[in-house]
Amino acid sequence: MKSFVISLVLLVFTIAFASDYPLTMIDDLGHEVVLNAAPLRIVSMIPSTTETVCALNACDLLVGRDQYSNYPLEVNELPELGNGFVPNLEAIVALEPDLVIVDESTDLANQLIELGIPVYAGTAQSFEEVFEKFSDIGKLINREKEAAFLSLKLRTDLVNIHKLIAGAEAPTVFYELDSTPYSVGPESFIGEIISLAGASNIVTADLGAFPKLDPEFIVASNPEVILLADAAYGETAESLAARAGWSDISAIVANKVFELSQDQVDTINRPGPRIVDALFLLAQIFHPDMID
Amino acid sequence: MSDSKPKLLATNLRIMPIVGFSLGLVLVLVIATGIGSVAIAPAQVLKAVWHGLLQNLDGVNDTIIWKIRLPRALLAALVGSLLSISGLAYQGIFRNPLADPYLLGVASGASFGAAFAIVVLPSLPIISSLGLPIISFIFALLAVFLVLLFAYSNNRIPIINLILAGVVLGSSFSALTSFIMISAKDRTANILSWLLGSFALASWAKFLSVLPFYIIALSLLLLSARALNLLQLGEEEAMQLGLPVTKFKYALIIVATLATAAAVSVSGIIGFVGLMVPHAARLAFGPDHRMLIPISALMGAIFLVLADLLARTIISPEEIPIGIITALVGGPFFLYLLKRVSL
Amino acid sequence: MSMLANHLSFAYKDEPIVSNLDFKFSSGEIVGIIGPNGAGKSTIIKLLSKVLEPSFGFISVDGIKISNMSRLDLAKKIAVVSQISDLPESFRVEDIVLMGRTPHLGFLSSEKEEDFKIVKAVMQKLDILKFKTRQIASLSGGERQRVVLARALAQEPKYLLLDEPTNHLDLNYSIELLRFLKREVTNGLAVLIIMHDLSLASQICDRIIVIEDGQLVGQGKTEEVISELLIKNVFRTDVKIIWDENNKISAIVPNI
Repeated sequence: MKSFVISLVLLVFTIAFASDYPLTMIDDLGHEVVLNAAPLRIVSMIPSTTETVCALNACDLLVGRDQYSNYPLEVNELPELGNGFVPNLEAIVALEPDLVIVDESTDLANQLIELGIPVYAGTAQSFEEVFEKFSDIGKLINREKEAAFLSLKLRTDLVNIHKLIAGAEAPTVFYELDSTPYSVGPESFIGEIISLAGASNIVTADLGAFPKLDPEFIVASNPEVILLADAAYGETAESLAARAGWSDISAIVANKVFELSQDQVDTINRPGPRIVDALFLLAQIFHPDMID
Repeated sequence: MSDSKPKLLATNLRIMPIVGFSLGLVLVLVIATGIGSVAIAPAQVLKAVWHGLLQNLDGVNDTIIWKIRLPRALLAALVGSLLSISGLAYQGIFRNPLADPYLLGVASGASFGAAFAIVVLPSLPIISSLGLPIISFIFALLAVFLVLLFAYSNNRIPIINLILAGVVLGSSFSALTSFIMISAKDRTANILSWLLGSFALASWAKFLSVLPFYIIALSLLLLSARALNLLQLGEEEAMQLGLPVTKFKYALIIVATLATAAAVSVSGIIGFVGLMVPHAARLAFGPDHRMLIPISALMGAIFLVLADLLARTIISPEEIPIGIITALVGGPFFLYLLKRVSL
Repeated sequence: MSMLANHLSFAYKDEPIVSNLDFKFSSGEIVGIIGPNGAGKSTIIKLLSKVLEPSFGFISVDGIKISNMSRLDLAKKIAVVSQISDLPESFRVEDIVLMGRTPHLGFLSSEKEEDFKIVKAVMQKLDILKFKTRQIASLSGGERQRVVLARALAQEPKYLLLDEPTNHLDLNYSIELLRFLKREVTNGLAVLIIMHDLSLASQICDRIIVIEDGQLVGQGKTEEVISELLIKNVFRTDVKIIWDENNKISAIVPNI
């Protein structure tokens, strides 16, 4: 309820003070982003940002996207520009964008700055930061009101989901990124969603954000639910049961292994406007009797 | 003797091939600058280069040509040249055509150094400063001297020891790099971005940060050409002809390692260039280093510009890592050499 | 003008290889070193050419200790004809011979008119000018030996050290080579030669140095040093020496 009030206050605040250009903002690399006018040709090099821009009702301002952006469907029409590590720099430049939004961990931001193109570098690293990014991007692209509404709507949905699963017992869960097996820790973005959806991650914080687990540890932890983010790469409930010593794991015995589709994995992975969808999806899996 | 003209014993330094390969390099640079995922007419390309030279860029095409494609092609040329001359130098020093910055573990040492720098000295602006080449160089030197230490046996360095020690140390350094990547979670992407070995993020700044190392390494090597020839007679014979062999060898190892580190610091690990190019040069122009050094430098530049052109056009608009192309050509080439050379 | 070894000793990992050798050789003479395999003969050449440093004693050339000379200066005076097995195959004959000019050029400058002239003359003298552009790989053992000798002579040395130069040669080539050395010596060259073949050695050498287990066991004029007893003691073999009318050795034949 508290966050709801905060959002309401924010909404009033942003409506009172609409975007003003020229606009200056500091991004996650500490660079000053200066925009002289509302951007009309935006390139997004991050899938979650692509989703955010569209969710802010600015999909028509996008002129290009990274190769992994695939949601909403209409962005597939946009030219593909590589990814943050191996961008198609000249194709980006040729689009003459007035704003490029990139990940903060590659050298692409510096390169674009050198080419004189306005860049905002940053992605949400945590659940709460997702909302900060809505507001930042909203401000940058003159969609502040939309950003505030989006935040408000999502927070309301979150409260409702939270109510639905309140008091439910948290099942233990193992989230498999790949068959190595890599998993997610509680401090990763996915880990946060898992815990918000009312489950208890078998990975503890001290193991790190994306630990490679010892299979023995998984067998010993005996998770009640297993989520396969690698189902697209051929892992199934059957292949898990066939792994040495795994057949007795509760989740496998109780038939609680969930093969996530690529679209579901994208939804869970991306710190963007589909976080509520992700949360709802996981809550449904963890607490099938409380939601239907 | 019928011919008694002054130059009856021509030296092996022939000018025409060098001029020819230089023109070849200019040609491939022009081609690489002209081709890309954005179609730009040749006349526009030339105009853009002209505008760039005048510091008078005008429009998107100018930016693409002058600030993206040209520095990228030049950086690929520089790295190809560096890898080739360092391979050539190692092969000359160890008198074995299988010595190569990649196989000797030097490249892995350099890449560990860069990963280390990215994690431990995160305030270092990634890649664009001189810091990364220097730290790469220090670790590359460490790698090469560790390899020598372990390969050394009974006052000599059997080539089998050298290659084995190099491969083993190389994988150890690669493992350390992976370890650093895993433990430095928040910088993993930065290291990965750099390890992938691509010229996609080339810039004038990167080109200029490597250029001084290139000029130093190439000049020192050119000066050492005759001495490198002497070394091919064997160490004893070279000493008896007046060469201070030990000092010279260590100095040259340092120069070759500098060249490797400079290349690795901007491009990540690109394998096999240092193996293939000098061998091709030797096949075509014989063993004289006065000819081999300039020819290898030019051939290496041409080779990598073309490899990079392929990397970014084969499945355009996407790119494949350039290392895949050099390894696809280089792997079989190494096996062929292995068959021909007795260890 | 002579080259001198004084108490020359060398040990490898505390194992003495040569001990306490005193000898000298001078312009105008051929001095042979003989001794069984493993006696330390090649080590002596490596010490004289500064490939190895003595563990005790010293070597001087024209009165200057070689430990005080740069390699380049030493190479202007001393040339070594090493074993031919290790020649780089893909170099051409003239490339190899030109390398002999290094001591006079240094490493940074390239050959001048003068150097080409000297190299041409040397190749002519050894009759290898005709295949100057052939690769080493295509040469026979005898031809390679001449290339290595030409490289040494291109150094214009005063002292020439040869390590078993007749090893890979047919008899006619061996004799041709030794005749050539004899002529060079009359022009003032000093030659130190390690020889395997005792008959040839006693015919060509003015003086002989006998080495056994790294020790000097005899030196002096050839006909004074070589005796059936010495050969029996040093080489553990019975031979018969055939002397000619001038009291020179004409052959050493085994007693079978």
